[in-house]
Amino acid sequence: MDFDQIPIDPLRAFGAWCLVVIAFSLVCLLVALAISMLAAGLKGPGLVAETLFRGARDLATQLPRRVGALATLTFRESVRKKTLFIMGVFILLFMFGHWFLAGQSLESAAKRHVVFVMTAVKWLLIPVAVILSCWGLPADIKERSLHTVVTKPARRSEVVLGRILGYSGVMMLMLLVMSVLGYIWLLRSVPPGARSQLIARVPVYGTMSFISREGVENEIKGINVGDIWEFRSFIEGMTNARAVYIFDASAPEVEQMDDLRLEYNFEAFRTHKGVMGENVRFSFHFVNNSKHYQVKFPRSSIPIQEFAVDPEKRVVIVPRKLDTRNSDIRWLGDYGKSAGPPPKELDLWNDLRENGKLQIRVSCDDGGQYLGMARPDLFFRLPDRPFLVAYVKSMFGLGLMLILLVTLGTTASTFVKGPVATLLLGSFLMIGQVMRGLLEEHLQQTRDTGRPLGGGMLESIYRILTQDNQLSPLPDNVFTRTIQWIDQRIIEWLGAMQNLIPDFRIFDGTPYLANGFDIPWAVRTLPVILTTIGFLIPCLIVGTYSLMMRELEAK
Amino acid sequence: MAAETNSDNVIEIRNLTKVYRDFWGRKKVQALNSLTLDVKKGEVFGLLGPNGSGKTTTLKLLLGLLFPTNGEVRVLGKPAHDVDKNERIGYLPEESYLYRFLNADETLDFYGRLFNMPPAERRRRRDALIERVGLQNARRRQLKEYSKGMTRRIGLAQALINDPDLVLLDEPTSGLDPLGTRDMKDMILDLKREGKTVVMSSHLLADVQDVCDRIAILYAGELKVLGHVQDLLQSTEETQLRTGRLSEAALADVKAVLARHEVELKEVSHPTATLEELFLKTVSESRQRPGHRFVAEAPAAGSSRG
Repeated sequence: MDFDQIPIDPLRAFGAWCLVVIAFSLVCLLVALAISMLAAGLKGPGLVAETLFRGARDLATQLPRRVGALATLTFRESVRKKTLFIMGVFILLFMFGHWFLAGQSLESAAKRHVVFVMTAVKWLLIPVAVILSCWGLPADIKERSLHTVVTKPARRSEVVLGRILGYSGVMMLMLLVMSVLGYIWLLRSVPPGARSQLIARVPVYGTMSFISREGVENEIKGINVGDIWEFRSFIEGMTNARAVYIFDASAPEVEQMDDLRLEYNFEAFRTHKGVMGENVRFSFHFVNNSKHYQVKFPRSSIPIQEFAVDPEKRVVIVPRKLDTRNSDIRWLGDYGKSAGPPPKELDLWNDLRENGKLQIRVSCDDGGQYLGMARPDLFFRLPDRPFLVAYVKSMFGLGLMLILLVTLGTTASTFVKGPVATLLLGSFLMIGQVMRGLLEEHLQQTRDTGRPLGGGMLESIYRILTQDNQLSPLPDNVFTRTIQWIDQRIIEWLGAMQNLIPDFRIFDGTPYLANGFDIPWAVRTLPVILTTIGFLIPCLIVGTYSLMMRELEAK
Repeated sequence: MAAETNSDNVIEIRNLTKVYRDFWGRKKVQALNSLTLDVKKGEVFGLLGPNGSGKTTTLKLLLGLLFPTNGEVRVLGKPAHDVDKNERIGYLPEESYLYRFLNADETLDFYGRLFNMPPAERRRRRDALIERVGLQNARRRQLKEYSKGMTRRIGLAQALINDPDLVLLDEPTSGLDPLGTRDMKDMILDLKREGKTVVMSSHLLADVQDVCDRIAILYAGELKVLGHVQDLLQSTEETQLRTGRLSEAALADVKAVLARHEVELKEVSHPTATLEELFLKTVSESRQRPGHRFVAEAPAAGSSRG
């Protein structure tokens, strides 16, 4: 999991949302116009306009009391139909789960327990949310209980919103109970030796570039040592190669730190055995170009703790005052020839920070060995937050995911029956949770190279049937040009569709929590909130029109 | 339609046609064919017809639960799809499609909230209606435990929660025992006395005759008869006399008078009570004298069951 994700820009996100909503609305409008004209001829557009007006009025005249009544009804219905019994399964899991988790190494004990709790809560509640939301309204229509509601002044939008709120309330209640039980279970079940791993680290990431072994600066990548996973780039030991990290050190919470805590997660690539029993070594070099300082810290190199699971073992504490006892202070380049000897002591923030930024270069100090790193592999570690904070944030994200599922399920159930709505929502969940990565990769390849590797769906089928490999060019004829043209349209359609399917991965805070990280606001919590609202509004509109345009009596 | 609009009309139906279609748009059945009728303010109007004649379809079109294939419907001066009209309507469905997991109090409170009633008014209306339909002893029981009659009562109570001007009752006496039927009919007459307009559909003719001012008879989706019950049922071809018990001599005199006027005497008999009257009388007496039992006559000597 990549913990170094780009923070959301709410304004840009809002712009993109507006674009998608407008495009979707236009498509719906065109389809409605076409159907209405087929059904009613020239009266069609008038009917569409009237329906649009009625829907807008329906949405605009909602009353909190009616929505509250419908939400309470939905909540009562779920509770009295014994939905909460699912918590019994949860309790059973927790009664015996400890049997399978105990007795393994302490190194990752906390992680195992956290993943167990989060997975249990998530996958017990998701099916409940799907079934409740997809089956509730169709059952209400089938049993005609809804007749007694819509023959009152209740708006269709109130029915949809009431259902969403009611089911969300039930899910939140279950989530709350499970969260509390899960937290207590974690505190009791994680072995005492591993409880220190229940933390919420707060990282500050920087930007990254490389200096090549020849000393060329601002390289995007280092050396590829042949690893198919290109996440990390490597620098060669005992050469000019450096990984250059630049951190924004102007934030108050950074300045308030007396000592700088640097946590790394580097990977070694060995071309020879080296010294048996010793790890590959590296150093940090703090550089201020304007003042020409270059400070190697610590004086002696650091052996990397490549396989340590406990993050504390990979923390390097840099004191605020760097002096010649703990570091090697030098002038940068040839500056010393004119400036004389460098000072004996430097202040980390006052002397080494340049325009609020702190530049740290990483060198590999073993000749013939390589050190691999990526942007998130080195970060400032701000004071840790309590584990409970990250746990609550993680459960909050899960709660919003359940609300989103309920929203989508309820909306689907306004125009299709329960089984179909379940299938539809299940597909959304599978694409948004599992296949989203594949889809994004596919689209990225198309953007980068004009077409995905091996072509689109039809081209791939063609290649399988003709036993052609992915790289060889296709014969140039009408048939292959046609299938490539169709593939291109399918890819464009997929690109448009991915905006209509939420990315459920962002709701899952488990990787952060299990690896001892706090869940960052701008990277996870805010996007999750915005995504939920971003789907709730259009879903409410779609659900309203859908209920309004169907004959509730028709089965 | 606007030209024919009358302010006394609570419901105006013009050339209403409803065709049910399947998924592919193929015609399945024509439930209504060019129905035109009005319902006036303050009357009890009965929609009569055999099963499948279009009564319930008409009610559902009035409520906006179905969309007309052709024609227009106005209820309380508004189109059928206008939700605002529901502020003044009460509806009792054919079956009581209420939420069976709620109890009577919760049911009425829920529907009261849909009318945006404040809590105090909801409580007041709820208590009054529960008393009116006689469910004081069952108000805390979930509706799934209710008998059919109790379900109809709470159904009627929810239909009246907003003190409606127009009450639509779909088969209101369906499935009720004679006592329940009598109570329901009494309540309908009470509604009429309160000045409300009632439209009821039924195929139980006696019930309709007892309470309705006007009726429409539908058959296969078409209006066959429309008018006042009294006018429709009254026969001017025959005369009925009702007197105290006549002696044989008096009866002979009457026959002689009729013969003198050349009037055919068709029937002379003692009137019989209806079974409903007998049943209601028996139940009423049983309530007053709980210990009293009917004792069968001893069979005559020598008789035996076949």
